[in-house]
Amino acid sequence: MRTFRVIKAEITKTAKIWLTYPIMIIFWGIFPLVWVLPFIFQGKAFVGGLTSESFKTLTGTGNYLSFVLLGAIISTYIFSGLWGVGNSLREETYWGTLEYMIISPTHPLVILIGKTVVEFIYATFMVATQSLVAVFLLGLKVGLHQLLPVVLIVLLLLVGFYGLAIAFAGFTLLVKEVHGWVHTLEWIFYLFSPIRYPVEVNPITKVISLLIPLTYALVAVRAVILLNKNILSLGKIILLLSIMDAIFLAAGIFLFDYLEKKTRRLGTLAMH
Amino acid sequence: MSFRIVSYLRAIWAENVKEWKLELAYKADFIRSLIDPLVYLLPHLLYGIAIVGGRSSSHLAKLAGSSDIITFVILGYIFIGFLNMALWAMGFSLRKEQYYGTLESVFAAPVPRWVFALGMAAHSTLHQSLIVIFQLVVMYLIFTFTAKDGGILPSLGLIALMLFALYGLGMMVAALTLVFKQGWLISEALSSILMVIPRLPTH
Amino acid sequence: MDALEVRDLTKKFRRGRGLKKREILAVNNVSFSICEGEIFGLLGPNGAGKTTLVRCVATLLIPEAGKILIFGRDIFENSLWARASIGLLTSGERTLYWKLSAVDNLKFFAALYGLTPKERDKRIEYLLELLGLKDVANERVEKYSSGMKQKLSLARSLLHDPKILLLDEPTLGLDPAFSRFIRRFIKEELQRKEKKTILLTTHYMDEADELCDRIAFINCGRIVDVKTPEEYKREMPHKEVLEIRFIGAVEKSAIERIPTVEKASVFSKDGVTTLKIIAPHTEEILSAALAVLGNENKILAINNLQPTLEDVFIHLTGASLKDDLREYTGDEE
Repeated sequence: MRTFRVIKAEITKTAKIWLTYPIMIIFWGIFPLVWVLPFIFQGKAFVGGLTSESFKTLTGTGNYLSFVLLGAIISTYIFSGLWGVGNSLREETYWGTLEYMIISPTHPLVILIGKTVVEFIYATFMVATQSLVAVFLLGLKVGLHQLLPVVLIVLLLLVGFYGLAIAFAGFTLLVKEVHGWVHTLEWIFYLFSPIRYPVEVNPITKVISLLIPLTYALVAVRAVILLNKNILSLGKIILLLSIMDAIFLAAGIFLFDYLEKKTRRLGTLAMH
Repeated sequence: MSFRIVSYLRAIWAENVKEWKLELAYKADFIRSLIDPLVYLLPHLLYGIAIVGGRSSSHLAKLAGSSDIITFVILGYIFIGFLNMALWAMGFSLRKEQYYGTLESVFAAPVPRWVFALGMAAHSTLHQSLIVIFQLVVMYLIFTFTAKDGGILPSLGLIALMLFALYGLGMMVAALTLVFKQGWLISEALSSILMVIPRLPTH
Repeated sequence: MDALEVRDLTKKFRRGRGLKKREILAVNNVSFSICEGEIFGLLGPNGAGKTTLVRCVATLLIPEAGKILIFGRDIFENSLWARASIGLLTSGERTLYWKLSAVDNLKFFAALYGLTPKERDKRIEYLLELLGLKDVANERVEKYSSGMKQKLSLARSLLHDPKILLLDEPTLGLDPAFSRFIRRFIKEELQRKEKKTILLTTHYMDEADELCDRIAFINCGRIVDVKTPEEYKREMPHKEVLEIRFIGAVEKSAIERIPTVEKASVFSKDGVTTLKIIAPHTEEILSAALAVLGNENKILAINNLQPTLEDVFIHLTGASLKDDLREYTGDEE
């Protein structure tokens, strides 16, 4: 009950602060899709239409537009979590409120779970907006029967990523500015997982992509939506994602706890 | 008069040197600033290869006169790099001074403010040129591409002309970031929109 | 049983990297205890280790050695319980959500302290009324003055009705009217009515004198002495203080070499240097002191004063409360 109240208080507080910056909400609802447009125009300029035979050989679908849109939507989900949760404690440092949160009798991890829930709601709102634009304006076709398997895969992916984000939140306590590192990690994912292009096009990216959980989730989601595959045929991928979730979440929580204590030992908690 | 010009040049140089020193104080960030653009560019290139099935597109040849998608994207990307330089590096230079708490002292110095702006521009151009050279070398090693004889000098001339327009844009954004607290939104929105517009199919 | 006991506490900080790496002893083997309902002051210059000590008690720092007990229980073994027993107030405006109202700020922290909605609403209403913030309760904090923000921070530290309060420089940077209000509130409301146990840090000697039942003088991470304000003042019954304000500089050791001078302190601010000399009879050393200052220093004022707590501090440590020792301890950022 108490944990629930903390989460509710975190949601209310964050929503009230966000509402004082309405322009930000509009920005994040629209721009992640604007970032996809260059890929669409690039595709049209290179092949003249919206399908590509070469793309079909690599991915099973020639519809590169849907491929890129799905990559954009799912990457928005995970990167907003990584930035949001990873940076959430940093924000509290700027506001000068972090120490007052830490000295409360609520475990810092519970506070961070509250922040994760907030980020999840926020990202879901953004992704829902983007999905609607993608379906109704850009012609992405999703059947109702495909929604449930996709939600399951995305949730499995998110749990692992939130584990990573929790560890990042711990790093922000210790090293303060992780902005650059998150940025680099983001671009590594863009390069080595099939967010924006099929990694099979190059042998190096193909091998490295196997080490990134995002690859499996993207392959699975595209298989369901673009190739109309049954969720049961993706059992291996789901099992793999579940194992990765357990590892990432446990490692994230352990690292956060360790780094929070280390920060209190070093005395750098309130430093900017 | 000539004394004044020399003192202005000295101020421009000092601004440029100070920015380099500040930048090099964060070595990891500096190295990242060289590598990040490469990591950003490669998915665009690989995406192009995946769609076309090679690096030569007959459709692109019809539209742009050249069929090589790699050279086409890399050249476009160099321009985007300079655009981002204006929007982010120059656009945020005043805000950065404000953050350091040094803006008032800089503005109180007995040199016109355009001197300070030129200092910023000099640093941003040098920085971006370094990144572009680094990118071109790496990209050449990976993909190899050739430039037409006699095409380089006119291209550099065009880039120089573009730079002046971008300096204007950068100074405009720099001024806006002082007025609006969410200055980064201006840069982000402008860079996102400007990334799309030049790519609109012209035929 | 003591409400708060600090035993042999040591806290070090590491600063710098590589060859420049050095260790700073911010709190050095400190021990003291505070009775229930007592206001215990830590008085010392900036960087003396006061804030580090308070942050250790608040569980924000983990010390290298020593123990901190609250009502006999180790705070690091029972950290969540200890946090529920402690309320913290620090100086500085940036400790609240400026984009939220006072009520929203308090509601958020009430959730962290485990208050039920019913308890929370009752407590918030009571505290806002008590601290005179009821009329502005729904206004955004960014519109508040520094004093109002500090009042709201105080309300936050009292939300969960803690038995122990840690007040770290509670009036720093406030205008005199707000400072008076906060001091009166601490003495009348928190100590007399609510019987709170309070650990207060300050470098204002009159604040310590007015509020504290006992005061620990702290300098360079060590507690120099612990006494009541009256006991401290009785320590110097036959001493006088000569204060010379001038423009220029002087070596403290040159003044201390004058016969019968016991201690001297030199403090400069805004171009004016204040020299304080403690001696049994200050009129006997005046001409010698002026001779040391020489003609190159421009004398602004000469006063003969009765010893204050600050003079006792100088007498015991040779340092002034107005000194800034932050480079030694790395206390503040």
